Order: sequence, then structure tokens, then C-alpha cells
Amino acid sequence: MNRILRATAALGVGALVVALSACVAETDTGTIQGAPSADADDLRCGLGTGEEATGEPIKVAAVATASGGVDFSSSPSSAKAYFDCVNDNGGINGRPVRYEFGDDALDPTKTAQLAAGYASDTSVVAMVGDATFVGCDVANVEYEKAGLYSITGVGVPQACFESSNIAPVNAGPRTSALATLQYFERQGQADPFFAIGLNTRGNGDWVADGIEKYTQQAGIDLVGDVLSDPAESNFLPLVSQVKQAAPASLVVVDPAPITASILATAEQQDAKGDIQWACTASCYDAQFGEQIGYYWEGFVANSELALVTAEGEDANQWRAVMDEYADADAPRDTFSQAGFLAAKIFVDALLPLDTENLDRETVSEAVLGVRGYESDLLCAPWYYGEADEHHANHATRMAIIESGTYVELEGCQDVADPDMAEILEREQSEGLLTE
Amino acid sequence: MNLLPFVVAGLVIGSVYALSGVGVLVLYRTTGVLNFAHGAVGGMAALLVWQTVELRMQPPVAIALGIAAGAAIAFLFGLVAGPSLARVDQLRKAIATLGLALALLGVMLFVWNDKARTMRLETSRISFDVAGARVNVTQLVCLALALLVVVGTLLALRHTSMGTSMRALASDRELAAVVGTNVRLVENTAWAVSGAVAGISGILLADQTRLEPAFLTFLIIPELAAVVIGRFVSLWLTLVGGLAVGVGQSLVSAWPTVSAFSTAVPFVVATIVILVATRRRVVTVGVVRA
Repeated sequence: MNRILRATAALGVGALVVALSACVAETDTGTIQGAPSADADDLRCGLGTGEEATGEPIKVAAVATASGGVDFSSSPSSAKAYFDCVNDNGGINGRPVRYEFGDDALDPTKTAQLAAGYASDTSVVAMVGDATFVGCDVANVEYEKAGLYSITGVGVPQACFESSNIAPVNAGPRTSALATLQYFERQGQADPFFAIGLNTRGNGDWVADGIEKYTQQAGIDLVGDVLSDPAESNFLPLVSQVKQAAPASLVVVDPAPITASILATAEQQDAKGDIQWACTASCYDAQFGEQIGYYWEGFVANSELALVTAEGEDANQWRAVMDEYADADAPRDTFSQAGFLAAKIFVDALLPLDTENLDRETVSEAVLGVRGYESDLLCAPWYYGEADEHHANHATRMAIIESGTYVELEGCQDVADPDMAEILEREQSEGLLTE
Repeated sequence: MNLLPFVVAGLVIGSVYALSGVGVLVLYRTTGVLNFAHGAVGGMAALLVWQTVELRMQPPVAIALGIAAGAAIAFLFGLVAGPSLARVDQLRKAIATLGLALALLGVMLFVWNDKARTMRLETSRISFDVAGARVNVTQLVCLALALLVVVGTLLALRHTSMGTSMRALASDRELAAVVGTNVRLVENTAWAVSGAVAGISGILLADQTRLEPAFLTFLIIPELAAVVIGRFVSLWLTLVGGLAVGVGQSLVSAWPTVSAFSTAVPFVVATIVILVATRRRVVTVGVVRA
């Protein structure tokens, strides 16, 4: 008995050491390989005075899904890092931003509670850098009642793009999938086409609908449009369907772990063949290339914002701010860029305002008035505007895996979506693309 | 359509379900605990292997460490919770392990983010064609291991003193204690063995399916279906059950019209077996009592 006890205690301690050393090792991944190095000017956020803001704090909040199996916290984390940088540089004309975010744990009831809480706290002037995977619809109900507006970092389901008080900085899975399809179309590789997605309401079906409509309109033969169960363990049937359909190219619109499993099954069946495999921005992250292995050299992904290694004023500032103000192990991915950009848009919208008069009403007015916002992280100007749907980011870039890492394959391209006609119309008629 | 690849994939996954099922069954028979945390322990072992390999550890050493970690987690739980669990009914025992499953899942989600991870065992890189189906060495290992573990467990139960003690406990716990069986030692061994089996299954499943905490944790459902088919008694029937669930799932998923229901196969099979078995058990108990 004692021997077993001692042996197991030793094993337990060993396992603990491994787990702990794992945590230590992750802290090494702070900086991005292949990215230009930062200089001091990159940390001149907001007013860039270099002096700490000491005035009355301005309260800003966010709701994000950080636990429950999906972790989108990189968006509010980078927003917080940017606000910290602004606070060290004179704040909003002397007033610091006090930022907090609530985790809805992938539970829409919790999203509604958090949203209602922030909506009822009138000292919260705006929501910035949100990233809820489940609750845009319920959150919007609360925001609308309270006249609160959200510059959302990351929106995924349809509701995030079809809400009056929510405007995401990212492009979303539907635009990302269409961008991939249209990239192949430009290369003459999209016919026939195959799409793989997740059978989730308001998300997978929304993406599939976009692909069906676009392929029909463009005269592309859609030989497969498969939505799989999120709990699926066996991707062999899917891979067999792909093999039988023999498309010229295909897009996987799944979360990265599921995409990796599909690719592993395809590799095991040696099903890559002449098919051009690609995925949406969900698998555009540094770890993905390493994980799927050399078999997938040449694998294509969409990127909803600039590549994480890109050179540019905002791209450089994002990396510098993350290195200086965020945890070393905070992800440096598209969602992180999105949260950073949401915070930057917010700060830039508030700086011209009268500091004494900052309340929810004046801030909402300023946020709604954002138009023609330019950033090298984006492909086209971003705007808010009063509308029942917000989908300003509809131009993206493409990346390809070379030697296990993503490099740029194609620069900015506008993405056509048959359902976006009204949005494009409004952009022009209301002059939303110019300041 | 060539169904052979589906049968092969089904047999492989099924054999790992069966392997897991054997671990669950041995623990259940010895301690009376139906371990809902079996999948979570396997998930933890798989993620530890992934992490240590990422840290440049030799894969065989990492795998050994993962299996040992699985054994250690289960053993520690048995050591700490075992004495209290021995005094409560089976439902509460099972619920306690559900707590462990959720705690382990929480730890995994906390330590590892939701980015893509893949586990590629070296044996998965060697593959060959069998009548139009691609088979790799890991898949053969899965099948062989399931068979080996069933036979090994049967032999161990029959021919070792620990096995005899386990059988004594399974048959009548009180009586076994009265005649001098070291109940705690036997139970702790069962926890450790079951944890090691969970570790092995977790690593194999991560290679064959998905390396995700929640996914691996909830694979306990098809694994339990295998045990239910074995009617919580028979190792051979558990093996058959695991294979049946695996192949059933795979074949259902082969046809697009019904493929959406493939994840329901374990429930359907288990429900049918429970319905049939319950009817028969009522009769048996009646006869014994009479």
C-alpha cells in the first residue's frame, strides 16, 4: 500500500511539474516570428503624451466568451492592453479608461445577464472589444433598450452582423468563406466547389446559405455543401464525399480544432489529391500551420484583418502594445488585432469630444458617427452608422502555409455577398466610407 | 459505395471504446463506481502527451508519462474519495465521478486554449492499402490492444491473487472483507489500472479522432454504451459492444441521409440493450430470491 502510495505521489508530482513547466514554456511565445521589431513611437497610444492620465475614469465594458470550450478573450485582452497604453499617454484628454469584461461562458443566459448588467449601469458609456460566440441577439435587446452601443471585436453568428447596436470589426465566417471561394474563382480553381461547415443554427446554415447563393449566381457547380455535427468523431464519411465529388477546391468553415481533425483524416486517407484545400479565418493562427504538418504545405486560409506579421502603423502598434501591456501568453491572432482596433476606433472617436461632457449619450453619438475610419489592419474604411445591420468589414486577404507558417498569398480583395446589396447601397448613399 | 473504409474506421474507434469500456468495467466490478470521468482522465493524459512532445520530449517517454498521469489521477481520486464513496449508493458514486470529470475538464480548458492541436503518433505515419481502405499501424495497435487487454484482464482476474481479490470484491464486498481481503489495496489497484487504461484510450482516441478536452471527456458516452452491452459483467461482450457501437456509428455516417444521426448510435444501442436486459434481470432476480 505504502509503496503504491509513494509511487503514485511521485507520478503525481511529476505530472504537476510537467503541467507547470508547460505554463512556463508558453510564455516564450510572446513575440511573433518574422514580424518587424517595434520602436518607441509604436507605444505612443492616443494622445501620446507619455504622461499617466489621472482624471475621473471613463467606464467601458465588454462581454466575451472566454470559457466553456471556446476562448475569444484575446479580443477584450488586446482592447484592455490598448486602453492601458492610452491611459499611460494622457488618456482621453486626461481621463483614463477603466475597462472590464465579463465572460459569458458560452451560455446565452449569462450573456443576457451581463449585457443587462452593463446596460443598467449608466456609468458604462460604451461596449468595446466584445466577442461573444453565442449572445449577440440577446445582448442587442439589452443595449437597444438602454441606448448603449458596442464596437464589437469579433462577431461570429449571423446575429452579430444583423443588430442595431452591435458593429463588429471582423468580417465574420460568411464573408471569410465567400472570400476563399472568390479567391479560387479568380484563380480559375473554383469550379466545381465543395463547402464544409458546422451544423449550427445562425452560423453554419448562414454560411452555407451564402455559398449556395453565390455559386448559383456565379454559375459555379457546388458539388458538396456538408454541415457536420459539432460532436462528430469520424470524418471519414466527409472525406469520402470529398473524394467522390472531386472538386477543384474546397473551404472548411469550422473551428480550427475540427478543421485539423478533418485534415488529419484526409491525410490518413491520402485524399488531398489535386484539390485545393482551404479554410476560413478561424484557422488563421500561427499554431495551425505547425499542427497540421508538412503534408498540408500550400494550404490556404483567409485572413479577416492584416496578417499578424504585416508591416504598418497600426499593425506595428498592435504588436508593441501586446508586448508591453498584455500577458506574454495572450494570443497574437486576428481576434487580438480586432479587439485592439475596436479600442483604437473608440479612443479616436472620443478624443475630439468635450471631456467634461462624456456620458453614454454623447459617447453613443460619437460612436454612431464613426465613418471612413482607416487602418492598415483593415482593407477598407470602417464605419458604424445608424442601421439594423452592421457589416463594414467585407474586404479581406488570403494567406498560404509555407514551411509550416502562413505568408501572404493575396492582398486586399472586396468580397461579394448577394445578401449585402443593401449595406453596399447605404455605404454609398450615406457616404459612410469617407470621414 | 466501398464500405470497407467505414468498417475499418468503425472497428478501430470501436476497439478503443471497448478498451475504455474494459477499464470502466474492471473499476465498476471492483469498487461499484461507474466512472464518468474515464474520458476526462484520457483527455488529460492525451493533452499531457501533446504538451510534453511540444516541449521536445521523446514521444515514447511522453506517452509513458501520459499513461502514468492517467493512472495517478484515477488512483489519487480513488485514494481520497474511495473511503467515502464505499459508504454511499451507486448513483451517488457515479455522480461523484461526474464531479471529477467536470473538474478535470475545467482544468484542461484553463491550461490549454481552444487552438487546433493534433496528435500524430509515429505509428500513424506508416499506412498501407487493404482492399481499397487505408489502414495505419496505430489502427492495428488499437485493435490488437483491445483484444490483448480483454484477454490479459481475464487471465489476470483468474490467475493472480490480485485478480482473485478483485473477483471476491465484485462478488461480495462485505464477505471479501470478512475473509481478509485487503479491500483498500484492491480498490486502489483497480483505480490505478483503470486510470492507465483511460490514459491509453485517451491517447489513441486523440490520434484517431480529435484532441479536444470537451470532445474526449464526453467520449465516455459511447464507451459506457459498450459496458452496457456487456451488461456490466462480461469483458467479451464489452469488446463486442464497443466494436458494434464503433462500426454502427461509422456505417450510419456513410449515408448522407442518415449521417446526421451517427452520434445517436451509442444511445440507441445502449437503450435497446438496457430495455432488453432489464426485463430479463427482473426475472433472474425473482428466481434467485425464490
